[in-house]
Amino acid sequence: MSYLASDSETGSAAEPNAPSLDDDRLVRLARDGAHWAMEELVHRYRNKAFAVAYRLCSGQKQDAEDFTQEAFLRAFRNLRKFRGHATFYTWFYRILVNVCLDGKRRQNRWQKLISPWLPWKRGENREAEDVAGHSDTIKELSNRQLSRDIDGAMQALPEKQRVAFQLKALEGMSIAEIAQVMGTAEGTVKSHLFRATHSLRQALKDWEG
Amino acid sequence: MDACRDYQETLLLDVYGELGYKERADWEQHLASCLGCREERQKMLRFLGRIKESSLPPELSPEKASALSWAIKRKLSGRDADSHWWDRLGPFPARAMAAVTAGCCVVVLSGWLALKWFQVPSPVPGPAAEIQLSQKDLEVIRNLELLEELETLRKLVHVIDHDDATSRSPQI
Repeated sequence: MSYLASDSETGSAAEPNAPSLDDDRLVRLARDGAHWAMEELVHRYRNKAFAVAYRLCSGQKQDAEDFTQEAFLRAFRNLRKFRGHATFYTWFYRILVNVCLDGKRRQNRWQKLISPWLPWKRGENREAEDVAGHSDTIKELSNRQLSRDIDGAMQALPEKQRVAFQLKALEGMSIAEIAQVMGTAEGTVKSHLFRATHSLRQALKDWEG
Repeated sequence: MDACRDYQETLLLDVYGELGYKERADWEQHLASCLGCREERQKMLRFLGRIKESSLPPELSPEKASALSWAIKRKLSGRDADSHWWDRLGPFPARAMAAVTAGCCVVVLSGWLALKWFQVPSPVPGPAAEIQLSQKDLEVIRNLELLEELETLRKLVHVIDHDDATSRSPQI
């Protein structure tokens, strides 16, 4: 199969003119079975997708990688259902957000079930990773503390408010795009966004100034 | 100084870059005259900037990115290999085959139904013939006495003929 024979190590697409094609054309080609077009779409969105997944997974790197992969697979397997009413980017982000939220819910259920028997907690791994990666200057410590507080405040938000805030404030998506990703009306997204902003400001008021 | 209550939504839309052209003109006019809203806007922008700064995700390393692409490729190819033979024909031949199979089923079924419904009836005697038959039987029964009498007469004639024959034969 030509797909397998492509230049996989460098991560670039096999077709030389692939980067010049727009998403719609690539999606059409991918739908017709052009695996190099799928490869180009992965190449185009993998970093952004990983960033979204990383934030939705509260900084769990391995989970973010797994969910990104799962979202791409799910998107390509369901490419025939993509009607082109939205852009590929928003359609794919909707899948990604759903994969992440479903995965998180599954993990939470599982953790609730087995956590009494576990001697460690997953959050501690990240903390250890952070400590190993930074020098202990006052500014670094302060940033780490702020990061932890933001994380805590985000986790305290209801799921929809958190997603709306993350997609807007951190990913820079428009309200119309977020509405498509979340499958809700723009007014609802605005409402989630405003509530989330208000709650976060309340929770992090010590850091304002 | 606090921001104006009436402009809170506009303020948020502004800091999120979602303000329309007309609304922006009104808002900028208001901002020029309202210190509270100007301060609140600055605070909001600083707050969002800090959150964004602190929530930067790690870069996906080139090795990890390649591994991700490779894993997706491998799984998609694996799916192709595991798929049914009709899936590998592509969407159109597979659909054509399904249509032909369905057509054959329809033809066979309609043929069977046609045979069942339009079959020529077998020569089984109907109720009229049955009535006719029973009428013949009744006639035979009615004339049974006459027939019996005829039989008696035949026997009598036979006996008389036999007696005549014996009396006419020469005496030894």
